[in-house]
Amino acid sequence: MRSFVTSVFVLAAVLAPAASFAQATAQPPAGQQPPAGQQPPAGQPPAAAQPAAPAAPKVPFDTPAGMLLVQIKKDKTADFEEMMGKLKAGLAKTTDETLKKQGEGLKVFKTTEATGPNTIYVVYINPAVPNSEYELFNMLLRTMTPEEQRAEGAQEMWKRYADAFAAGLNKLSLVPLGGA
Amino acid sequence: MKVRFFAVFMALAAVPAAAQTPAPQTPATPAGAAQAPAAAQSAAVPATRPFTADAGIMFSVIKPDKVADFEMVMGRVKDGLAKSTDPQRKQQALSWRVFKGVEAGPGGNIVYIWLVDPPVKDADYTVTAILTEAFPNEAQDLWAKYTACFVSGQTMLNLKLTTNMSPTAGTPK
Repeated sequence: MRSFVTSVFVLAAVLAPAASFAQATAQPPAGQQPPAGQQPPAGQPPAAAQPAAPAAPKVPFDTPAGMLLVQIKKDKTADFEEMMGKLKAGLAKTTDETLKKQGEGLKVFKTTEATGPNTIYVVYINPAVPNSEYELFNMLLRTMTPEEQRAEGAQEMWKRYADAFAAGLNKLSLVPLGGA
Repeated sequence: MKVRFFAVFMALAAVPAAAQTPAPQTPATPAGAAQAPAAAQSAAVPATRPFTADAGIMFSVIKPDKVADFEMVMGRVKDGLAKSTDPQRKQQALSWRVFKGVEAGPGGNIVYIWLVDPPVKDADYTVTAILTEAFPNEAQDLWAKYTACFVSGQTMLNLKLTTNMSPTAGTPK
């Protein structure tokens, strides 16, 4: 019976390559580019020209449940939580049935442990709505009326929200074992 | 703004020791079972594993050829909770879900997640404790199978609910 204590770093190293296909994006709407400090990494394309209602979701879940791990800058957690609050308010008034269903199974958690330079949020989705877009900026945009999207301050809001992200979303598609 | 999965786990690497848990712990030796070597008994003494916030999550990375064993042990945990006469154990079962990640890691390693929402206050979620309570004669074998499944230890995180998007949910405290 050997000791089985290992560091989380080991876990990190093991999972390192896991994610190239588990990547997801977190992008503000087109025309609402993030500030210089939040540009996409080199070699990656800029935000699409027209993000609304894309042909295929950027962040879909084809499993019964899913999870997004979100890294937010420590001094920007209020902005991210404001964004999530705005999304909740938008979901409450939207007439889009798909969005409503998405909202019914979506919770946002903040880790209570210190997690390095950034704060990690866990977006837990259960049940997931198949073939639906779970990219957070896109979801928020779809809850807004055209007037709200054009309103004074909207561009500044998108920039502020985008600047809160230390990195993009990390996606895990989950199949339940039936519970323990 | 894409990033790799690696980034999150690098961030998790900085989680303080309290959040880093030894994976499987030595179970209490069942009556009549062979005694473990003294050196082993002193290692990895199980601390209780409570979740202390609105929810809790545990990440486990499992070898691809041990998936069946891991799921079998999780099934026995479920059986153990179901047969327990302890109300706290029964309550634990109601909010403890185990998920398998679809996206495989290097070498085909599989990530499993426990999502405990909400946790039972002061309850111990240590797998070996549950197995030993429920199946004292099997616990040793189950523990051996369980420990052999892991690529590395587990990562435990306590979670504070910040937003429940459901329109029927209230504002988190």
